[in-house]
Amino acid sequence: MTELMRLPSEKTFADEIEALRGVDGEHPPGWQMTPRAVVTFLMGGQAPDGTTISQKYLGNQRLIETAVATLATDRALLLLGIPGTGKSWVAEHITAAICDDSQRLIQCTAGTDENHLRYGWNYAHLLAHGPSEEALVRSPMMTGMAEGRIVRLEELTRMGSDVQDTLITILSEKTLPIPELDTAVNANRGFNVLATANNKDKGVSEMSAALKRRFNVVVLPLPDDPAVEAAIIRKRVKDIGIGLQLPEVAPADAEIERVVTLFRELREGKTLDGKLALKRPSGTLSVGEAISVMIGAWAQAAHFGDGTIDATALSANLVGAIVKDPLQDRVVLQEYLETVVRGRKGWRDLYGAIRNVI
Amino acid sequence: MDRLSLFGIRHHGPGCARSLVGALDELDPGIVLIEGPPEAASVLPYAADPGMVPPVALLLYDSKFPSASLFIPFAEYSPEWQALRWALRHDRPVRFIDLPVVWTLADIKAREEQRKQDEAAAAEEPAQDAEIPAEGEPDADAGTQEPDEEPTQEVSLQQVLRHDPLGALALVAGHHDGDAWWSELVEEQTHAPSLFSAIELALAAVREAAEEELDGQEHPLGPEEELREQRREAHMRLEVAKALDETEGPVAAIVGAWHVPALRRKSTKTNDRKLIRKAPRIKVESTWIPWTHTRLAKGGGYGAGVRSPGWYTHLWRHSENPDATAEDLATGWALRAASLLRERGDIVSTAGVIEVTRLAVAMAALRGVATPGFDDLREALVATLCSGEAAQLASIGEALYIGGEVGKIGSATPQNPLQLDLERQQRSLRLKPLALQKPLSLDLRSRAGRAKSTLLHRLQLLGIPWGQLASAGRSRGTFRENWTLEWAPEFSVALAEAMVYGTTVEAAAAGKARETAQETTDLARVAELVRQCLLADLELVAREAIDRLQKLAAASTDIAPLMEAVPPLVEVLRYGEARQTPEEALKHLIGNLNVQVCSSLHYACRQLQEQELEQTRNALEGMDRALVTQDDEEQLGLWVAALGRLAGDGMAMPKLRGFAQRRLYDRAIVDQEETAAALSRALSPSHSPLDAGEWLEGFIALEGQVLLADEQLRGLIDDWLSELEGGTFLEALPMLRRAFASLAAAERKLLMGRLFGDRQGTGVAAVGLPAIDEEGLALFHDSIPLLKTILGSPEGGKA
Repeated sequence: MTELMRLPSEKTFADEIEALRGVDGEHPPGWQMTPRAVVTFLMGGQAPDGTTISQKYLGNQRLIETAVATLATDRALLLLGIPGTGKSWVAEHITAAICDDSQRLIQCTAGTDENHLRYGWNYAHLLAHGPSEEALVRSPMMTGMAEGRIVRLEELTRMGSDVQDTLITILSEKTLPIPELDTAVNANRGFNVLATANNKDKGVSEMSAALKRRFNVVVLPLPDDPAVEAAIIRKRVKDIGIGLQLPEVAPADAEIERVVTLFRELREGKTLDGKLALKRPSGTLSVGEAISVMIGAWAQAAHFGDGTIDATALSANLVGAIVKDPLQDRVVLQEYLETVVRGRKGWRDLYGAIRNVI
Repeated sequence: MDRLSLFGIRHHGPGCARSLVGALDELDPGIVLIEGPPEAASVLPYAADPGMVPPVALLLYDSKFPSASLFIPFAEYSPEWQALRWALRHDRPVRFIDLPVVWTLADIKAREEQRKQDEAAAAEEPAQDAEIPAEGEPDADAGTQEPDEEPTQEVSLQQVLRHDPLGALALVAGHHDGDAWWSELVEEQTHAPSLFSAIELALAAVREAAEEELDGQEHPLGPEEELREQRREAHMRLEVAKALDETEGPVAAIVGAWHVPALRRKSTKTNDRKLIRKAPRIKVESTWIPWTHTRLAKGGGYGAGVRSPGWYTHLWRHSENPDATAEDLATGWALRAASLLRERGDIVSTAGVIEVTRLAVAMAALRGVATPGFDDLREALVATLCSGEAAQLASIGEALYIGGEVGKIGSATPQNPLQLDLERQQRSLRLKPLALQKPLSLDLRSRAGRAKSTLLHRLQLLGIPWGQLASAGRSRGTFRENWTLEWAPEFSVALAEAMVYGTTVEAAAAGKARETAQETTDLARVAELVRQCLLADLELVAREAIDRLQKLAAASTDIAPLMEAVPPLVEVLRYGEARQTPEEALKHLIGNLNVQVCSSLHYACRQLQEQELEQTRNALEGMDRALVTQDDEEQLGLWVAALGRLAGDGMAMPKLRGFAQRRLYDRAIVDQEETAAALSRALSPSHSPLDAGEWLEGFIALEGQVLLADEQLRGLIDDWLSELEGGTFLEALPMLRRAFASLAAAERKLLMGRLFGDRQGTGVAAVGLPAIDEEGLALFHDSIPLLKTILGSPEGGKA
């Protein structure tokens, strides 16, 4: 077993990718498989040689089709959504399927400057020998352009608007000038940019209209159906748990359903039967957070509990996920406890456990 | 060689229609048979009239009982319409071969009679007729539409098979939505004429499976429906056989895809004839009427509407040009969306339109189809022009996907039943339509007077202002109405347009009012509609509108519209004696509105913009007057209390506070002393002159003549004025000027006359001027020019 904490998608699913490469059809330039095979890689199915392709995105196939078709037209793609809707997950797998390399990645933050998107200098070299190709420190963007691969930008809107605009020339003219050397890196076929961004969060910089125009936008929604949400959590919790080599515990499907119910009710501000309006907490309570609650509970149950994920293991993690603002959110949760959890059949243990924590 | 060619189609399908035209050109049949009511034969030739622009509908109705009627709508891209136009263009005989509509009309009539009986019974024993359809509303469309378009949810295979054969095919193909599946496969792609044999094969298989499934069990739609289906197919078989006997060349029959296998089936003529013996005897009239895209989209009864008439029209027009590419199709659609977004004020670049096309074409390629479909384009529009926000596309959704097109009818087409119904009523009421203005005074206590008034009001609801009601009739006697009648030729057109709502004046007025009530969110408009419906003797619709108003009011956060809704409702109550009114429901509603308004009145009167201020002031005045007219002590009590809070709320707009103070004074809720105090408080120098002027304007602008008559009131202002110090007085002048400017010129003149007139008479003392001595008199004379300026008198006064 490898000692790496987590393998990139193209390594984890190497056999699936290998099988899908065999699908007949026209490949867009620089792609290792057909667009339809990319969709199959995400949505699951079967490769022509009989290999089963696992389903990696549970949700609307149309969204994935739009995303893949966008990349096939050489337009940049922006995946938008609240945190925890699987944007980075989808981005990683699409990239892995298209160019077998999901690691050309730039994490955008408020501290990201132009050099991270373009190139920097090896100053020792620069001072000793003057500007030359050798003195350049290439960014993933520059490498991706030269290699004709897809470059991922995570959390695009977290970097400053002026830095974002560096992308405009890259996207429209597919070139990255290096004025110091009076040369430019021109993108090879197959290069494209896949960005993810939050649409509702604090501290994001608005994208300029000029940049926005260069992206096609696909919004990844929260799952409509509680059953789908529970399925996503079940699958991801299992994968992550195995990756972390957590000790085996009994399956906790019933607890997952409770977490999904609780998260959905608080997120939507009403009970599932629609009869009672609730206050909403300040956090987003996304699928991603539900997954971390379950993982946390799993670790707690395995290491400190009796090996089953129960209300006690859940409660501390739940409170941590819901109470982001110590004043307001506590009130919200308390109200929810008293009006909903207390009276709900079979939730008595959860009521007691959460009460003990807050 | 089989001379019969059967074309199985889906109603309103552009792909089917395009393939059908090609197939007809190739086949060149000697006669064209179409699934449609044979009674329409006489009006079919009018379809060739160049003035006829789809969407249009065939209307068939019982000549003696026009509310038993049904519509058969055609869009430009309906295969039936194209087949009809083809036959007329090539001068071939064309026949409608479906079961005569008399059968359906007889059913509608029977149901209507049943309903009337039930209603009579319900009078004694209420709340029993829940399942009877309202007002002969034609869910009778069932009569001519296939059940094969019904989009169904997840249902048992049995239901799918019989009820939704396309759904069954789609399920087999791995899709859940039969409609979308068919649309993508058949309507959005181009096909050779061999399409029809493929459709026939598929449907034959479905039908066989369905019949096996059903073997021996009751038909899912009930035995009556089963019999009707059998009759239809028997009739069509007989007609096809007849055409084959009479004609030499090829015979083309265009029918719903579901029926094709049945028409192929061998059946003896005797058996078929037996089925359709004893047809009901009804004289059926038929005509063409204009239809609309909105109605095509809604559909009625079984014939589920077209999902997107706008898209289908686009597909049809696109397919008219054989050289047009898939890119052209996508670009045309993207441009349409772009121009709608631009109209809404969004910035949409040409580059954006190009991106829509590229993405949609790439998506179609990804799915392995030649042409981008409805969903491809929708996703592409969202991802590019709308920055991923589906809500932005939804804002133009109706205009884009449905469209506002209204059909036109050729001028040669015979008259419609609504016109005939109106003429019948005109005769029986002795009201001649004349193009000259003619006054008409009606006494609502007499039966004839009421009937005439009802008719005129109903026509007004339909947007046909044949009679104009003089406003005097509204404000004075409640049992007299004064009308001016003047007929205009365009009313006939309006009548034809109103046909979509119903076939009698009553049904059409009710239908239109109902639709307006459901569509509008404007409270005052709905309230006005309630009034109009009651005047038009449409109590049922009025009650529905009242319900709607309740709902709207509950959701409203703005109180000006709530106040505006009250006056029309109160007005209706005043008609209580002359007309039938749901008095309790109305009083209840007014009460609710009043409570809602009163509870937040003074909050709502804070921080208003110029325009809102004017609206709120007018609404306040209207509401106040209405409540006084209604004279319900409890309501009035609430209202006065709310006005009191408003008058005392320092943060409310001064103009509205002035108004409220004045009303309280008029009602003698606050006495003179208190009013004087409020007046001087509001006009104290600590307030900006502008605010003070507004307050005073609110206080006096209302019914200026009261200021003339009410000496006390005049005295109050006068007292305040005369107590002002010299400097303060000068400062107050501009606002005084402003406040008095709100009075009409004539009122100002009268006011001035009253002041000067009284100076000579004894009235001076009475209005509270201090006793005048020599010096004072001189000062008074000096002040006259200034007074004139304040009051804005147009001419020099004669002191």
